[in-house]
Amino acid sequence: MKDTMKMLTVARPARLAPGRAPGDPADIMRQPREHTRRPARRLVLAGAGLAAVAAVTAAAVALDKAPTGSPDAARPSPGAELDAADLLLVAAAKVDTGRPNAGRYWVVRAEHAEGDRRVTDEQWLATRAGDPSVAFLRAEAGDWSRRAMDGHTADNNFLLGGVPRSAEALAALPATPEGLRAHLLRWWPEDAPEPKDVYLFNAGADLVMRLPVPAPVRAAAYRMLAQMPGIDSLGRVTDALGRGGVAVAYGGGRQRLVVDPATGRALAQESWADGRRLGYTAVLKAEWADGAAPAAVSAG
Amino acid sequence: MAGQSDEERRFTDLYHAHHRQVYAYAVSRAGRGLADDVVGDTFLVAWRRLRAVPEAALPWLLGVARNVVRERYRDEVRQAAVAAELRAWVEEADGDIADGVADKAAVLAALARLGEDDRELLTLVAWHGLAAREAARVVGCSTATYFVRLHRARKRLEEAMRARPPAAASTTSTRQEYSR
Repeated sequence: MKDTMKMLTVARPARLAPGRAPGDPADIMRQPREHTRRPARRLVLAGAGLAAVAAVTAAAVALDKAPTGSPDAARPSPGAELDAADLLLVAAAKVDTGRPNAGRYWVVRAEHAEGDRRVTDEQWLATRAGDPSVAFLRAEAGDWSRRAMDGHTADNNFLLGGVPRSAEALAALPATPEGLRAHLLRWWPEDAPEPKDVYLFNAGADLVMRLPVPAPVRAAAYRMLAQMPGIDSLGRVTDALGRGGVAVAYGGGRQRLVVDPATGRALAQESWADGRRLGYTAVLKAEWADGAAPAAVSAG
Repeated sequence: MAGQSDEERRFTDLYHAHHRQVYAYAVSRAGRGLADDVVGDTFLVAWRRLRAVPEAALPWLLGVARNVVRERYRDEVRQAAVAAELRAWVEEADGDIADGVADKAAVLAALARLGEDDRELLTLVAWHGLAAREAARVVGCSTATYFVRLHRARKRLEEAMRARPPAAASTTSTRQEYSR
């Protein structure tokens, strides 16, 4: 059946044609735009000169220092000048390469919220065989409780796009956006609950926000996100903890990643609908520790 | 048009050049009932991000439409709409009495029995006017990977056409597809 494709082409249903004339594009052009006058910054950035990156970063810092905390601060800022790709590239350029790339424990403290429920946890995730992983949990205004993380081992401690990985495997990820993307797609589980593009966005968000990867891999993850079609800039926002950053969105704004372009740190991942924040994970710290896991943690 | 800025002119051209294609893709991904909304949202994104729209705009637009469909509708809603759409295609082709329509209905019935990914791979090329390289961009894989998958999808379509179950079975198999 060599002509299968031809038969299929011929079978194109008439229902694929619009039943009426297209609407007036002017209706769409009346909608506000994210950025109306933008200098050719992307071109400059593409040249990736240090000065150019510095200039854009300066602009980002200026954005960042604008007053925060107004009721509208969490909404997209219509005046945002940098688009999503720009912002992610800026963040990539600011990823701190001076920090250590390995340690005994990867420690992540984050606040999680789902509807009205809110909890803060600090996870001590072992990277060496035999070390126990431990979590400390605190409900809103409560005390910390210590919880053993049974079943967590150095081999499966780190969730990337929903799939457990070892710190070793993460550290070996490619440090180019193309290489990283290809690698992540090879890791895409056939039975994944979400489509590939959503998986890629989530995996990228995991890498920039809460996984122990070397700085060049984190930078590559930002660049990979910057290249995804459908990534949108929402401009300057504050996250649920009141920290200023810029948001990039995927899927029409429902999934947001809040990034501090001045430091290259990803602050939070949020899910939104109808202009409301439904849930979030806001990272308070994500760093290496070389000692043993503590018996208790302080409020901090 | 007089009084239009360069950007407005570019968007208007883009809209008229690709509206039908985005609509067709939206119908195949979300059914005719939701297609207008998907098209509206897609072009709204294109307007907001006009500078990001590449010269060869169609793959980019379909990529946006794909995201719009996935993010905007609950899975159950979308799948019900697609299932109804697939049934309508077969019924429409069955009701057609022109030459070669029996084949057409058989192809569409077979297509309806495939998984959604296979269906998308096949129709991006066969119906939506994309070269494999462009279609690969829409689904987010390399061109080489696309060819491999397209080949497999075509084999499965051929198998489904050979199987030719009675038309009444198509509803059930459509449902099975979603419960994999």
